[in-house]
Amino acid sequence: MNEPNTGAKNLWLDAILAAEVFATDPSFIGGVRVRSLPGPVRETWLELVQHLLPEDTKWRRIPAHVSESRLLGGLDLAATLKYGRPVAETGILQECDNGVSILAMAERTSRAIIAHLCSALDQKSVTLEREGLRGYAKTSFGLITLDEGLDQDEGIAASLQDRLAILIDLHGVSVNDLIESNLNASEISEARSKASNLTVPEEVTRTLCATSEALGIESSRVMIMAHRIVRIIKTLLADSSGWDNAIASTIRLALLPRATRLPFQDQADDSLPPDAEPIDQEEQADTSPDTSGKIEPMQEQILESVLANLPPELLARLKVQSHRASQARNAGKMGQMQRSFKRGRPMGTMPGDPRRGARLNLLATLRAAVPWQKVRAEKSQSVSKTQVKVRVQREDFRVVRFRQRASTITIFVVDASGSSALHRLSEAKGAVELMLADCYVRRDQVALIAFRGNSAELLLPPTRSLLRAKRELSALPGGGGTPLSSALELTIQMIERSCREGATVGYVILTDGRANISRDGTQGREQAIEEALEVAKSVRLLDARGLVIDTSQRANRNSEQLASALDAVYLPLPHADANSLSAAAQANLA
Amino acid sequence: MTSVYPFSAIQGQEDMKLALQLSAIEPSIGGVLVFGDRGTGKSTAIRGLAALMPKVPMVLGCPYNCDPDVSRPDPCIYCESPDVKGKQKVKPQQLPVVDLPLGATEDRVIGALDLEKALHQGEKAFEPGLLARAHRGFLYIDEVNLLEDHLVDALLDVAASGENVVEREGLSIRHPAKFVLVGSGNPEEGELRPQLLDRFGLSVEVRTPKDIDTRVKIVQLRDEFERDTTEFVRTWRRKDGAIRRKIEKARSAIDEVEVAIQVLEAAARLCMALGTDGLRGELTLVRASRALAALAGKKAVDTEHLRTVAPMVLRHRLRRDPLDESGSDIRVQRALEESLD
Repeated sequence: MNEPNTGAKNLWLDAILAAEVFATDPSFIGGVRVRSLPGPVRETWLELVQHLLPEDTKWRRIPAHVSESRLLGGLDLAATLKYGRPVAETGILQECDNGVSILAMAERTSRAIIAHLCSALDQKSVTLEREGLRGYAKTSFGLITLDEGLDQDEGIAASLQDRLAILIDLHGVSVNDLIESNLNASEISEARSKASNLTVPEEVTRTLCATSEALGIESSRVMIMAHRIVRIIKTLLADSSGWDNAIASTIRLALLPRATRLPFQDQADDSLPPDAEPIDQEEQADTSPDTSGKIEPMQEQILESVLANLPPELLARLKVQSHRASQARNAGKMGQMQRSFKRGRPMGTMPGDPRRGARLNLLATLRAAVPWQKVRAEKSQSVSKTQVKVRVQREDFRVVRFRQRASTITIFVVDASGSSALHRLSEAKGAVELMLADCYVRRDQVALIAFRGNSAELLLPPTRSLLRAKRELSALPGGGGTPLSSALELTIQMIERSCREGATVGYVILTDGRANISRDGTQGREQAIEEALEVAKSVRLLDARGLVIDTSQRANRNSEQLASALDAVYLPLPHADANSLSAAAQANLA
Repeated sequence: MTSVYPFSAIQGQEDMKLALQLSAIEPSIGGVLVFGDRGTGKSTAIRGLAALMPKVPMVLGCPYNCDPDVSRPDPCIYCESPDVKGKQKVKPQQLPVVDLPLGATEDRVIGALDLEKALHQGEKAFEPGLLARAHRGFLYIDEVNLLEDHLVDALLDVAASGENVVEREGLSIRHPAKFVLVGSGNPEEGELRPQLLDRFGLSVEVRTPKDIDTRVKIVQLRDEFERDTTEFVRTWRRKDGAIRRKIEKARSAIDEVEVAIQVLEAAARLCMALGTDGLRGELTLVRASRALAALAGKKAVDTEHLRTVAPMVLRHRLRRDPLDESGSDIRVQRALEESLD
C-alpha cells in the first residue's frame, strides 16, 4: 500500500508546481485544466494559486450556465432605454483582463461558450458582433478549468484543452497528502521577470518536440506552450545543474496527459484493452509511418525516467486515455438542440426578455410600445425632463421565436461476444455500415455501444462524423461473453441523456440474444437472460423507437423475446440482406 | 489590435499558403476551405493574410468598399447619397479580411436596422453588417462546421449571388457583397454540409509537420515573436510585403495569361475521369491554374500548373461514398496520371 501513496504525493507535488508555474504568468500560460471532483483537495489547490498570485489579481468564476451575452458583453437594456442609445455592458471575459478566470464544471460547458473562450485565449481580445453592437476589447487572462468528468467519455472540449498549457489530475490525492508550497507571491513574481530573460537552448526545444512527436501529439500549439513552461519551470526549480529536471516536469505537466500513444508500449501494456491497439496502429499508420522509432537516446532517457516516476494508476489511466484520445471529445454535450429562441427559422414573436439569449425584435417591440406613448409621456414628465422620443418599457419587449427540427440520434448497440462473432459479426458490421450511410444522408447523429466480455462500452458518443463511427466499428474485435443486460443499461443511460438534450432517439440492437453474463459479472445463461429481459422492460418505458436485429445463425427465441420485452421491431438477419435491413431500419426509426 | 503573427513566418503548410494566395489573385476561384487538426496554424495563416491583401482603389468611408471604376446597375446607397455624391475620395486601400466571430448574430452579419438611430431619432436607417464590410475582400469563418445553420443559409445565398438582399424589420435594401469565403475547421468536430462544401473553390488539408527540425523551427519562431513582437513583425514585414507585391503583380497580369486548348482539354479529361458533378470543377481548375501561372510570372498556363492545383481544386468535389475514407487525394493523383501523361 506504500506505492500508491507516494504516487499521490508525487501528484500533489506536480500540482504545486503547476500552481507555481501558472501563477508566474497566467495569461502567458493560457490555463490549467484541473481534473478532480469538488472537495477539499481542489479547494486547497485553488487557494494555493490565489495565494501565489499578486494580491490584487482579479479572480472571476464563470458558472457553467453563463449566457453568451454575459460572457462577451451585450446590450445593457436598462441603460439603453434610459439614455435612448445602445449601451453596451461589459462581459465577464473583459472584466477578468489581467486576472484569472475559473470555469466551473467545464465538462458541461456548451460548445458556443467553449468557442468564445478559445478565441479569447487565442487573440487575447474579445470581438463582439451582436444585437446591433460592435465592439472590440483587449483582454488577457489565465483560465483555470475545473473538470469534474468521471470517466474518459466526459471531459472538457478538446479544442479548449489544446489551449491550456498544463493538465493536472487530482484524482487519488487525499487530504493527508497535502503540503504547502515553499514559495510565496513575491518569489513568484521575481521568477516571472527572471524567466523572461532566460533563453531556452535548442537541444531543449528539440527534446520537447521529439517527445511530443513520440507521444503522438499533433498540435504545434502544445509544443509552443511546452516551450513556454519549460523556461518558467527551470527558473522556479532554480537548480544550476541543467535542464533535465525542467524538461521532465514539463513533460509530466504538459505533454504526457495528452499522449495519444506511449512510446514504450511493450513494457506498459498488460491491461490495455485489446481493441485499443488496432485503432492506434491504424491511426499511426495513417499519419506517421515511421516516427515511433525515431526518438533519440537522450529523449528516450528522459521520457523513460518520467514514465518510471509515474504512479501506476496514473499510467493505467493514461493508457485508457491514449486509446480514447483519437476521438475528439465534445464536452458538455451541448444543450443546443432545441433552443428555439436562438436558431432555426423565425416563426413570429412573443413577449419575452431578450437578455435570456432570445433575440429582440425591435419593430415588434416598438409597435407594442406605440399605443402607450401618450400615457407614459404624461406620467414621466413629472418625474424627469429627459428628452426621449420613444418610451419603451420592459413589458413591450418582443422576442423572435424560432422553429428548429430536433436532431435525431441513432444508437447502435453491437454484440461483439464470442457467440455472435463466430457467425456473423462481420455481416452485422456490414448492416450497420449501410444504416450508418442512411444516417449520414439524413444528417443524423450516431452513437455506438459495443458489448463483449464482462461489460458494455460506449465506443462512440453521439457524433455526426461518420468516419469515426466506421473506424470504431471496423476496429471492433469479437470474443468473450454476452453481457446483454449491461449493454441495455448503458443504452438506457444514452437514451436518457439524449432525450434530455431534446433529441429524437432511436436504437438498433444487433445480437443473438444469448446473454450469459449478468450485471454483476457472474456467468450463467438463464439468470443473465432473465435479467436482460427485466432491464429491457425499463427501456420500453423510454421514449425511443427500437429495432432488434437477430444475428444468430438459426432464428432463436431469445432475441425475439428480447424484442417483445423492449417493444421493439424484431428482424432476423438470416432472412434479411443488408439492403432490406437498412430499409427496415429507416421505416421503423425515421 | 493585438499583433498578428506574420504570414511569411509560418513554417511549412505550403498547400494552404498557396491556396490563399491564389484566391487573393483570382477571387472568382471561390474561396478556400482549410481543414485540419487543432494547432496546425490554420487561423494563424488566415489572420496573417490580411497583411498580404493587395491594395486597390476604394471609395473612402464607403461602408460597402465601393470600387469607383465599376459602374453598378444598383447604385451604392452611400455613394449616391446627396451628402457624398460627386465628392467621393478615392484612395488605394488594402482589401479587407473580415473575421466572422462565432456567436455573431444574424443582424450583425447581414446588416439590420440601425438601433441607435431608431431609438434616438426614430429614424429608419440601415446599418451594414459584416457582409458589407467584406465586399471585395475575404470573409473568414473559423470553425466553419460549427456555424449555425441559418447563418450558413444566409451566407450561401449571398455568396452565390454576390448581392446581399435585406428584407427585415421593415427594411428593404440590397447591396453588393462579393467576397471570398475562407473557412477553417476540424473535421472531427462535425462534417460540413455538402452544399457549403461545394461552394469552396479550393480545399486544403493541413497537418502538423512531421519532421523534428520544422517543429523546432516553429517553436523557436513563435518564441521570438512572443519575446519581441514589434521587432519580429518588423523583420518579417518585408517578406510579407514582397508576397503582397507578387500578388498585386499577378493580379494585373492574370488577364494576359493564356490558356491553351490542350490545357482546357486536359482539365476536362481530368474532371471526366473523376466524375465530378457540374462544370464548377473545370472552371475552377482553369482559373486556379491561371492564377498560379500569373503568380509564377508565366505568360501561359501549362500542364504543370494544372497538376499543382488539381488536388486542391478537386479533392472535395469527388462524389464521395460517405463510408469510403480512403483518400480522395489518391484518386486525384491516379486520375492525373491517367489523363495527363
